[in-house]
Amino acid sequence: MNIPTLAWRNVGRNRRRSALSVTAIAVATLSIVMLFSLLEGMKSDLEHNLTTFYTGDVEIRHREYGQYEHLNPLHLSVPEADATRRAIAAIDGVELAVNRITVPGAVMQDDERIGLQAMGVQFDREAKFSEIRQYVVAGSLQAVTTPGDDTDPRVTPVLVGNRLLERLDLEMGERFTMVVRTATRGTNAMTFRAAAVADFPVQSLNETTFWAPLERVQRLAQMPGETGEILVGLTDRANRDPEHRAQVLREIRSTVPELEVRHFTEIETTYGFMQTASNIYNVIAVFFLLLASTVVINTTMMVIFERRREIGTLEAMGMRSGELIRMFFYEALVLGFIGALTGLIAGTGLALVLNQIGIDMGASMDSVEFEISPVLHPVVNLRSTLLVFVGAIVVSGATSYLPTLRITRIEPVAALREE
Amino acid sequence: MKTIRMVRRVALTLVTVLLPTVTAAQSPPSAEEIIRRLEEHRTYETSRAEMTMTVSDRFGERQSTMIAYSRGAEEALIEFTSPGERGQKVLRTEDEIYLYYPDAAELVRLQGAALRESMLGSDVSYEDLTGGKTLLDTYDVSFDEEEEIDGHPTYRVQLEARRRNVPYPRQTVWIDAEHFVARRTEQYALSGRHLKTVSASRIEIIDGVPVPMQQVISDELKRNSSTTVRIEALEIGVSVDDSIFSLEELSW
Repeated sequence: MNIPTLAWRNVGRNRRRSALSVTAIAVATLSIVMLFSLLEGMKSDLEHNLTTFYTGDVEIRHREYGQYEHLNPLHLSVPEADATRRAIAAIDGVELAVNRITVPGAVMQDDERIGLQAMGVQFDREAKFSEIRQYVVAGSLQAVTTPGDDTDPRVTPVLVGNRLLERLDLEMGERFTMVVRTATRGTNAMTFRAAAVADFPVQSLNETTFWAPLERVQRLAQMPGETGEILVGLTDRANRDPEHRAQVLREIRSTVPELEVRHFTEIETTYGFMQTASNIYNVIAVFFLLLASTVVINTTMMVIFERRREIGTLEAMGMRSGELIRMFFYEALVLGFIGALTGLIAGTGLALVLNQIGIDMGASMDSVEFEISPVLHPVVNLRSTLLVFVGAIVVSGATSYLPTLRITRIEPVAALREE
Repeated sequence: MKTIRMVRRVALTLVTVLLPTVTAAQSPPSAEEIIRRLEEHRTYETSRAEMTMTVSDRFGERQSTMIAYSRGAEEALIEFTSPGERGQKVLRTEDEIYLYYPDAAELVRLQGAALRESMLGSDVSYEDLTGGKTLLDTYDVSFDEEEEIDGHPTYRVQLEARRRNVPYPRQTVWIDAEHFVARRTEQYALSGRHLKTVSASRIEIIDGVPVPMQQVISDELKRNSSTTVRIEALEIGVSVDDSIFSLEELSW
């Protein structure tokens, strides 16, 4: 007797019950595929935002900066900024290197002190590094990089985050004066004009930051010829190949031995948190599947109760308990396979569609301080999706094993006497 | 005659013996009087001072130099002369503070919470510079006791603010019993939290006015931080042009 064929036939005997089991497994698989796709999308978005706006693929800064970061130690800077940047950019495996200075400060308005930060950048290099042009929603980068019609040389045109403009209660083209602590630990102030407005994918950047020419921020912070950090973009090969990446990092470190050089995954950021979260979500996925499998367990148990006479007949005809267990196990496996496949196809399809249109988290992301964009694009990860598929079949099959053990307790004669 | 001589001798003896006792037992001036005399020595009709401010924090020491002009209790102008902040100015007019930075096209007006900002990263806040009402207008004062500070006899006076919107609702001041200048001041929040300590030393008499030539200010909320303000040269009663305390002049 061919047990798999028998099991397959049995699945079709009570279609409603089978459909219920398949649906439970399918919904669980779909949910997990979507969960992992969302997580992958968040990770990929976070990685993009971190490497573009905060750390680069590799971040180079003063060795002691991290220790005193909370005190805004601008004096712990990278000297000879341009020569150092050029030396880094010349290393094989480095695609781009940019200098940046981030200077926190405040605008005093009436009784209020509005906190903000100036990001000193080289706009020509940022055009490639952060593709900053795509975030400009009003005005143009040209208006920022050229002096424009300002008659007062003390007014610097800048690119302002759209929310910051609202916080300052300003219109585009209007001025604001920012007071900062300098690298010499004194104070200085400079007047800026909102020449262009940007909508960055990170809300905190939109709310607090404006981008200004590096040399103006160097003057504001009294850091002539210095930079706060050098952000490095690696080539695709260095990003893909861990050995090559390690070699590039070694070479960067030997070029600037006095500075701190860290790959972005080595920096304590939200990305590390997301990695930890991934592990937690793996555990959650197993619980999801176990939960869905209770339906399979229930179905299998019901089937065994309903088919006691049949089981008795089969046993009387010489079918051994092990073969009976295998038959019911195959039935559960078939249900698990159909459910997992359905969930996989539906989940992947949904994730692919949402990847294109995005999920707008809108206002709910306003208070989130993670560097995550308000519009999330789920990303289907082949490895995790296949793992979910296999996991769904294995878990549903394995959990059905326990109820099938009841078969061994059924006496053929007693079962045949039952009405 | 003999009797008269006798009486005079007894009287002289009494005066000689008892007078020091009477003087020693003389009660100290009232708290109001002490504070009034303290403020007399703190407020000049006009003045010009060259000062050095040394800020010490966990990153080391940093020095700034400045010239300060004042007129009465309400008007003052500080102009920084050290290379890092050359040309920066702080103007105090009654209850307002204006900052001028050569790199900025606009004046910065400080009000409300912004006054709590530190001046040049020191332990001195702009709030500390705000003038206006005298201590007696702002605080209820009470005499505590006589106490020695660094070997100098002082009167310890407690100041309790009559209104809530003052930078330091409670202060304890040790006032030099001889010169009537504050040797030490401890400033507290309404909650009783210790905010700042100011210690004065090197008291010199300039144009008849006792002046503490060095003050050390410690912001008790900051760790490893103190600011020493030293007066290098002080002229009292100098001629000061009215315009230097004006906003128009500030940005020139």
